[in-house]
Amino acid sequence: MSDAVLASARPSRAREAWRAALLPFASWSGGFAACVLVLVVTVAIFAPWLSPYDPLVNHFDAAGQLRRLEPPSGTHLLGTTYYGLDVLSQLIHGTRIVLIVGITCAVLIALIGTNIGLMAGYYGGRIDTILMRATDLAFGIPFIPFAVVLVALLGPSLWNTIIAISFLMWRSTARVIRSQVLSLRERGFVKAARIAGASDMRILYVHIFPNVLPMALLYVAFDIAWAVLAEASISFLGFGDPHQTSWGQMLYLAYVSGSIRQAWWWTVPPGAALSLFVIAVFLVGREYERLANPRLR
Amino acid sequence: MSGAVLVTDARKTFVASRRLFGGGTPVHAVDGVSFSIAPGRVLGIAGESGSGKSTLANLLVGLELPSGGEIAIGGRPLGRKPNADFRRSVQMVFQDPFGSINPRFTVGRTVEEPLLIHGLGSEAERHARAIAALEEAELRPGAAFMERFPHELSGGQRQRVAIARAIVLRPRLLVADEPVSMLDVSVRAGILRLLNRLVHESEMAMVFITHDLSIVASVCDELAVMYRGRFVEHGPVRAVLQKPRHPYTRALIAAVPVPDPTVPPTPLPAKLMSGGAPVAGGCRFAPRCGSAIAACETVDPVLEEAQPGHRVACIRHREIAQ
Amino acid sequence: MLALDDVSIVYTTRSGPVQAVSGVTLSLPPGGSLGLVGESGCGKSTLALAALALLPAEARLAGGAVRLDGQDLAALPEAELRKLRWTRMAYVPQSAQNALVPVHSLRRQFRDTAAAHGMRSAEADERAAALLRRVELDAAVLDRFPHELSGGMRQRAMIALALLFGPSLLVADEPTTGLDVIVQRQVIDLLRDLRGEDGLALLFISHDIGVVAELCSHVAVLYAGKVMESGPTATVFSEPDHPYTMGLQRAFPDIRHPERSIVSIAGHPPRLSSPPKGCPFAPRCPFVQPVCRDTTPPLVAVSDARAVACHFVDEAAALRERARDPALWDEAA
Ligand SMILES: Nc1ncnc2c1ncn2[C@@H]1O[C@H](COP(=O)(O)OP(=O)(O)OP(=O)(O)O)[C@@H](O)[C@H]1O
Ligand SMILES: Nc1ncnc2c1ncn2[C@@H]1O[C@H](COP(=O)(O)OP(=O)(O)OP(=O)(O)O)[C@@H](O)[C@H]1O
Ligand code: SF4
Ligand SMILES: [Mg+2]
Ligand SMILES: [Mg+2]
Repeated sequence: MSDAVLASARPSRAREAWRAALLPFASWSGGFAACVLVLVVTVAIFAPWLSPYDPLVNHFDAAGQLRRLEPPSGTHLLGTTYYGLDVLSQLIHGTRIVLIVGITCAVLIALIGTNIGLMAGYYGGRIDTILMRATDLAFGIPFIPFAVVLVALLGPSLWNTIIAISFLMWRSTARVIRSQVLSLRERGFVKAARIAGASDMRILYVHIFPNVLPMALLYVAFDIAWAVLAEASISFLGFGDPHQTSWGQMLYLAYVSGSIRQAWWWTVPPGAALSLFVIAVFLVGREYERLANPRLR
Repeated sequence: MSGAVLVTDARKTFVASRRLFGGGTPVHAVDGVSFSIAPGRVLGIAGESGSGKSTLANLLVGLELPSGGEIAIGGRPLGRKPNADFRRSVQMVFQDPFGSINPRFTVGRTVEEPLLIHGLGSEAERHARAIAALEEAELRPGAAFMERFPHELSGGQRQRVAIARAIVLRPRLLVADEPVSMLDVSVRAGILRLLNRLVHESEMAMVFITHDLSIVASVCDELAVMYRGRFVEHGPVRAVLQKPRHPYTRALIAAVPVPDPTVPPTPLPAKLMSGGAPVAGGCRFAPRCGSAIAACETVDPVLEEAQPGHRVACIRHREIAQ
Repeated sequence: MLALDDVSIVYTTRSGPVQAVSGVTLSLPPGGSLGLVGESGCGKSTLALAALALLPAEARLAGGAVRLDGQDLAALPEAELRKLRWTRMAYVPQSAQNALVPVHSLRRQFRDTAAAHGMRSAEADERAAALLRRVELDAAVLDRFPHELSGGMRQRAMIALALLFGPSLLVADEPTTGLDVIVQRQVIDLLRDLRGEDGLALLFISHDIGVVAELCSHVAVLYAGKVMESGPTATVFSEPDHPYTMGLQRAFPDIRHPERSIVSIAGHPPRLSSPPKGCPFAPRCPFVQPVCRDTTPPLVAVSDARAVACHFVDEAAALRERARDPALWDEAA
């Protein structure tokens, strides 16, 4: 409660943003993780130029034989698949799925979860009860069977996978945002806005929302990791979009072709990339969590 | 009836139950309060925790709707639901200088917000009015504060921003709920003097809520002492402080620590600390009252005029005054 | 019994070191009572924690020594300290009303504390009942939960808990802040009784000079981590020698004199992350002279009981006279 500490000079907006961007680098693991994320994004953007071949083109040797399960070599740096596709190119194109799934799901989850949390926390009473029952329900539904059934019904496509993921994953965001709103709505600035005659929408989106934004963003970050993992699981189970090359899909095909044991070059890269990406998101998220959640300081 | 504020028999009852079946016991947080305040005057309301001060404040600003009685501000009654006119005529200053302004808004945005809500003025006019309000709240130069964020300000400065926000609409009534109790002693006087000046220089009335009786003299013209949802004493501030007539007021005053170690503390009646729940139909203070007699258990005293403008709700106030 | 000798404490924070306490010397005799007063952030709680050797990890005793009965606490192993902390000294932390475990009955909390120091449950129950009676609570509250008690009752229960092992020193950090005046009076009366009847020494922290005046025989006025003035409460408040004490006293309303106007001290305390040169109060002091900004005034004894840290102690009487004028404080800025 000391003024002296709070009154410390504030750097400009730009410098603040720069400091926030550099925050993960405060620790060794955070810095490493941030580098991994930057790498994934760069690769995804420049995938067509970076990948040596089209990921969906079958390769044949001079004799016209399909280059089936070739170990890494000069022409195929990470070898080939059972179907004669270039593993490296598949891996590189897989980053695009990671980004599409991660970002789309995170945006959808954030939209649904944050709004449900805001409404439930702010209005309380009946609305809160109904929305929180719905949240409990979403928590009660086991994710993978739900997603499999939904994709089976709607047909396997990337979009349907994204819908299945977003349809359940908003639950934890909603809970966390609600609990934040519960305490914010008792604050003087919310009361002051009400006294001055601000509408509920104005109070929710102009006054309260900016204050839950850091927490919402943090959850978005974690949601990206969850969504990417979920997509991989669905694809691995064979319910992914057959026309896309995702890391989960690569593992699925390695499995169904029966080569998961011998062709390590086909399974280790997507598996390792997936783990690395998820861990990196969590590590970076954890650094930012300290900002959003003072108790961890 | 003239007056900036006219409150007639205001009541607020909460039913403290979140269970589906079976109602909880109702809490009569405000249990029949009447008063009026003239423009440019300050009514202080004191009382212990839970006596209903904040609930009364919330009724006055339309945050809660009364369960009974009438409230009118500047002649505008608070009907079923406060309308924009009513909203413009009341504003509030809160206790916690840290929670009462939006940490994500600049000072300028905070002060302009009420104008934006009511769609008043052009952007330039709002800007100018916000600066003027800041300067009135003694944040000078006002323009230098517009772009700052709350965390750059001290507690006292934040409270001034909250005051600027409250006066920017030129309300008829300003309700201040413990505005200095979370501030350091060394800056309290400045805020109190500011509030006092703002009211006395304008046509605005103020309700000043506090549990600290030692500061009321420096801001208030009148003082009301609240106990369990009712005013038990109400009169000119000096009269109430120097010649308190209700036993509860006397106890409150005697309990205030005196910053002079050579003065021994006034002893308080032992009954004051123990007291149980009041008997229905009797004086609500009787179980804790050192002056209670048998009749106090059967008569629920109403406010009656002991001196012109000085009302007391105690059947023994005449004996006690002696 | 308790002696703080030239104690300095530094917090390590992300944005650099914070010099929370600098060179504080205080002593509290057995059965004595010492009040620490000052504004928010002046280091009161930090000193209390130092007195109990309970400083958090980010704080460091950067200089000086804390002695309990002549024993340097810094030299004792943690196990030894833990024993001392309950048996010789007791602590009622700031916002102690919320320090009780909400999900346990009071009986459970007394027993847990007792067990942690090898006292049997039966004995703990017996002691608890006696202590609750001592703080004027019914022994039946033992089976109640914290939320079933009022703020004042919780505060008294906390004090009872602190007294479980019969300490001879009680450190109470703002035990009455946030309580109603009547309840506050009850807690003050209780502490005064404990001091008088049971010979408990009391280190009492408050920002309210009225409460300190009612309870403590001696007082130390802190500002920005330094002692500005110390001595017997009666003389410090009747004849303050330090301008900050004068201001604080004038800022404090006195219910007996509603006509007397109170003052505010313009400005705010210095940032302890970059303490200013010279007297810490200089930027707000109405009597400031160039020397104040250059040289830090040492805390000097002005009589056998009183000490003041101001370059102009010798002119204190004249300054007091000038300090009576409220306009003086308003103009300084
Ligand atoms: N929303 C509510 N629901 C139920 N009871 C309430 C509610 N608000 C207040 N009360 C009850 O009404 C009574 C008066 O509360 P109020 O907050 O007005 O007291 P107060 O005088 O402002 O106290 P304090 O000095 O602690 O702020 C209390 O018994 C309180 O528990
Ligand atoms: N854990 C901490 N980390 C860093 N700085 C701290 C920490 N605790 C306290 N400080 C700083 O040390 C100084 C003294 O703090 P302390 O809590 O002792 O003050 P206080 O006098 O007890 O204030 P209050 O009246 O608000 O309780 C303050 O400037 C504070 O910001
Ligand atoms: S009416 Fe009786 S009980 Fe009530 S305050 Fe007066 S003397 Fe006390
Ligand atoms: Mg209140
Ligand atoms: Mg403290």
